[in-house]
Amino acid sequence: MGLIEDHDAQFMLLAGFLIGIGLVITTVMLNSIMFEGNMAIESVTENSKYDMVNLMQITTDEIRSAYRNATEKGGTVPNTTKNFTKQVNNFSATLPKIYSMYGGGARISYENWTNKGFANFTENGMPGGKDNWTLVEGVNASSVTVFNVSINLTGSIFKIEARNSADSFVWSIEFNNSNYNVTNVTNASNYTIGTFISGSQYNLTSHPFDFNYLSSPVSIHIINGKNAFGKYKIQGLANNRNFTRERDYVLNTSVAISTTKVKANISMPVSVPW
Amino acid sequence: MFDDKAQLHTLEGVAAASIMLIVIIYAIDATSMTPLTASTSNVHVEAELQSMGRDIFNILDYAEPGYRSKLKSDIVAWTWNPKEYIWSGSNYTEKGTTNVTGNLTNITELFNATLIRQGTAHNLDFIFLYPDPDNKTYPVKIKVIFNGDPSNNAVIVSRKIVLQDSDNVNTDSTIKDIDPSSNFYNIVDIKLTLWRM
Repeated sequence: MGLIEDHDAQFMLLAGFLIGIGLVITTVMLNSIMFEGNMAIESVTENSKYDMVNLMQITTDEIRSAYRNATEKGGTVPNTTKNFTKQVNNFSATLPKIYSMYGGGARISYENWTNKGFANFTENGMPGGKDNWTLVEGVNASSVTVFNVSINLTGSIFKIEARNSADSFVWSIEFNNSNYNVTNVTNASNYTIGTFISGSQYNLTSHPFDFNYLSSPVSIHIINGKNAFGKYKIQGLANNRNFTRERDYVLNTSVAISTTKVKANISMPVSVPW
Repeated sequence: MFDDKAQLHTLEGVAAASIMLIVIIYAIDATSMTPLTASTSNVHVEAELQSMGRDIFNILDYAEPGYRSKLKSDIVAWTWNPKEYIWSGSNYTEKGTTNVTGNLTNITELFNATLIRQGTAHNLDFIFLYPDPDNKTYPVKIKVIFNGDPSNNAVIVSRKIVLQDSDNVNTDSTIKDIDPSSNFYNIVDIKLTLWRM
């Protein structure tokens, strides 16, 4: 008895087999597509975010350096801004050559301080910045050699205060539209009222402010920073290390970076000189 | 003429080819999955190396206002000996000699504490702009630490720093002042290549 040749059954078996293989292939391909499709652009070997941060950092460094270099010897605003512009322009022209090594591009734009007001006393120097903030901590008050502020009021009260390591208030100077009041809790009799002159520079290490007679260490806080704009500079020892905090202006700057995968334009305020 | 046998043979051929294809793909994938293979399966290895490289640069390039970062201190003091540094097993030495590297102390100290201890191979290159006699500048790359050609799963991390005239760059340095008319000196791109051995 010979074999029964049933071609229909063979067709069905083969078709089922091929459909099975097709499903396996489709699943594998879908898996690959979903994996690749869901890879975050910055998650693996794409360095764009890191490069952006680095570009922002070197631009900030350069603008601050150019400002310090241009202004440290004094001079008129047109002359200092001319030196500043020259240095930052040269930096800006050089930048693309380094980035071109990676097939990308970088560009910066910036402003100088001609016709620009001083920074606000907020944390980032912008009008909408944080109102109450800590300028520096762990300060050895007797080591402070420079503590100058120039203040213009836009609100009713602006205050700088010092707190000890237990976060208790020990010293403050409060400015209002007509007076400044100095309070020192370690010496209750030391309470001074003077006439406030808008835009004048006050040396807070000198009498009657006497900041550096405080017991150390202290942290310095700005209160109601939105109510004032101007300049500050403080130098001394904090946690046994030299420190400098200084701000004159906040210069609006933007950096742009382009790579094969990402194009970004970021605006950032740069506080100068530090 | 309707020939069932021919159709069956064709379909069987297609099925056999598909099976062979799947077997080949599976065999290639299975045998090539080594730590050195560049594939989606070792993405985490690359990500880990990249994080480590970034951390190294973050540590080296941190500075408070008024201070110079360790990375910048090394670059400012660096002088190029036309020989690369290699890891000798106990120190970074000049290639072909036993002379221990005399500069880049901050960089090599951290590399020794991290990359060397973990057995991560690494190369370090400096890229900066060099002035030609026509006062035009072009980028040059110098191999500073060279431990061989990287594998195909190597990752590159780089950090750029800006040098100023006021940084007092070593007078013997290969990095030249490309802008004598202002305080701007040069831009240096420090490129770290990492891969698993």
